[in-house]
Amino acid sequence: MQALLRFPSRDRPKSDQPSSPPVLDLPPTEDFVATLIQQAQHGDLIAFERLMACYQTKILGYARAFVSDAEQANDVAQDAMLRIYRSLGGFRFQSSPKTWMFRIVRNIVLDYAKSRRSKERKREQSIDHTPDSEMSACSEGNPEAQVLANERKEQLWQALSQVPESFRSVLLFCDLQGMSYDEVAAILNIPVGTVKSRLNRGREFLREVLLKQGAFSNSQTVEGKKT
Amino acid sequence: MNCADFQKLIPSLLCGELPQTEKSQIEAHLPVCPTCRTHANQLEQTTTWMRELGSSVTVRRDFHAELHAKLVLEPPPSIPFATRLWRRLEPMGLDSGRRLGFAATMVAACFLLTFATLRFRGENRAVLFLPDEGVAASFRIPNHRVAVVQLDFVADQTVSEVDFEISLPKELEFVDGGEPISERKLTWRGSLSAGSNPIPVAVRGLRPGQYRVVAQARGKNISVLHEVVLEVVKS
Repeated sequence: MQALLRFPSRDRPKSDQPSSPPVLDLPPTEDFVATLIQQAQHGDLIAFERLMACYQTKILGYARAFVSDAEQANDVAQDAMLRIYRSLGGFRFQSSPKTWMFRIVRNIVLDYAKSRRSKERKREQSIDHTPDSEMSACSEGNPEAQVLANERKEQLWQALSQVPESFRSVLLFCDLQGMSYDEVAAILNIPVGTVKSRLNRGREFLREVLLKQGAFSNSQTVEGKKT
Repeated sequence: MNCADFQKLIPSLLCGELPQTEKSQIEAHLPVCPTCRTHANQLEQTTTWMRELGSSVTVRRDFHAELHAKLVLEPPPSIPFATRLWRRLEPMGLDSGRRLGFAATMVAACFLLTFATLRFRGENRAVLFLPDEGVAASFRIPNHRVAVVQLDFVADQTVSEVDFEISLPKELEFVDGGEPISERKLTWRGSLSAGSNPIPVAVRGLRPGQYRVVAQARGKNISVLHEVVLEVVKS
C-alpha cells in the first residue's frame, strides 16, 4: 500500500516508459481498489494501471466472448479501460467500484459488438478468426496450456458467442469470472432471482451448443454432483 | 416427474438451490437414468470448462505498453459539475437523492414565495401607486356644499388603456357643472402618464357622516383599489 503513495499529487509520472503493473493472484480488497481509484482520479496513471492490472483478465474475458478474435478483444479491452479512465472523475463511490467498472466495460463491449455486426452484414464476408494459440504463444509458461487445449478454448469461445446476450453476460460474470449473484445483479441492474434463472438457462443453452459441436464426445464426464 | 422434468431441475441442483424434496427425488433418479446423468455431467462439465477458460485468459504481451501509451495521451480525468456539486453537498448531509430533493423543493418553494410576493408588491408599487401608500386620506367637506376632492394616481411609467371607476355611497353625489348627477358610479377609460395624475372629483354630501369613496384603476398588469374617507359636517 505504501508504494501506491508515490504519486499523491495530480502530477503525472514523468517517465513515458510503460509501467509493469503486477498481476494479482488474489482479488483486490475494496480499500485497495478505492485507494487506487482516488489516486487515479487525480491523474495518477501508475495507480490506474495497477487498478486495471487487477481486472485486466476479467475485462478481456468479457470482451473475448463478444469479439470474434483475441487481438480485437485486447483492443476492445483497452478501449474499455480508457473509457473507465475518462469516467473516473464522475465516480462518487456510491456503488461498488467493480460494479461501476464492469457496467462501463459491458457498454463498450456491447457497442463494439453491435457496430461490428452491422459492418459484417455490409461486407458479407466471414470473420477471420485469430486463434488463441497465438495468444498462448505470447504467454509462455501460463497455466492455460495446462488447463485447456487451444482447440477446446476456441470451441468454448465460439459456443459462447452463440448464447443470447442476456444469458451470456450472466454466464461470463458468474462462471467465467466468479462474481457473486449480488455483484452481477448490480452490474446488470436486475434482481438476483433473474440472475439465477438467466445463469441456469445460459448454462443449459451453452451445454446444448457444445453438445451440437461434439464437445462432449471426447471429454470425460464427471459423475459427482455439487450440492 | 419424467426425465424432461428432472432435466429442468438439474441446473438448480448444480447451484445447490433445489428444495430438499426435489433434491431427494432427483438424486434418487440420477443413478438409475443414464440420460439424465449424462445431462447433469455435461452441464457440470460446461461449468468447469467455463471456470478453466476464465483462468486461462491472458492479455497479449504488449498490452500494458499499448495501454500506457494511450493513457499518457489522455488528459487527467475531469470532474463533472454534478460531482463537484455533490462533493460540496455531501458534508452537509445532502448526499442522498431524497434529502437533496427535499432541500431543493424547499429552496424552490421559498424562491417562488419570495418572487410572488415581490411581484405582487411590484404591481402596486412599481407600476402604479397612490400617495401615502394607498392609505385612505380624509377630507372634510361641509354639508350640501360642493367640494373638489383630488384623487392622485401616481405611476412610475406611462400606462395606456386604464379603466377608472369611482363609486360613491348614497349619501354623496357627483356634481358636474353645478348640477348633481344621479349615477353613483363613474367609469371612463384613459391613460396615466409617468408621475402624478391628479383627478379632481366634485362631490356633495347630503347628510353628515363619514363616507368612503372608492376609486379604482385597472389596466394591463395593474389593479389598484383606493379608498378615500370623506367626512361631511354640518355647514
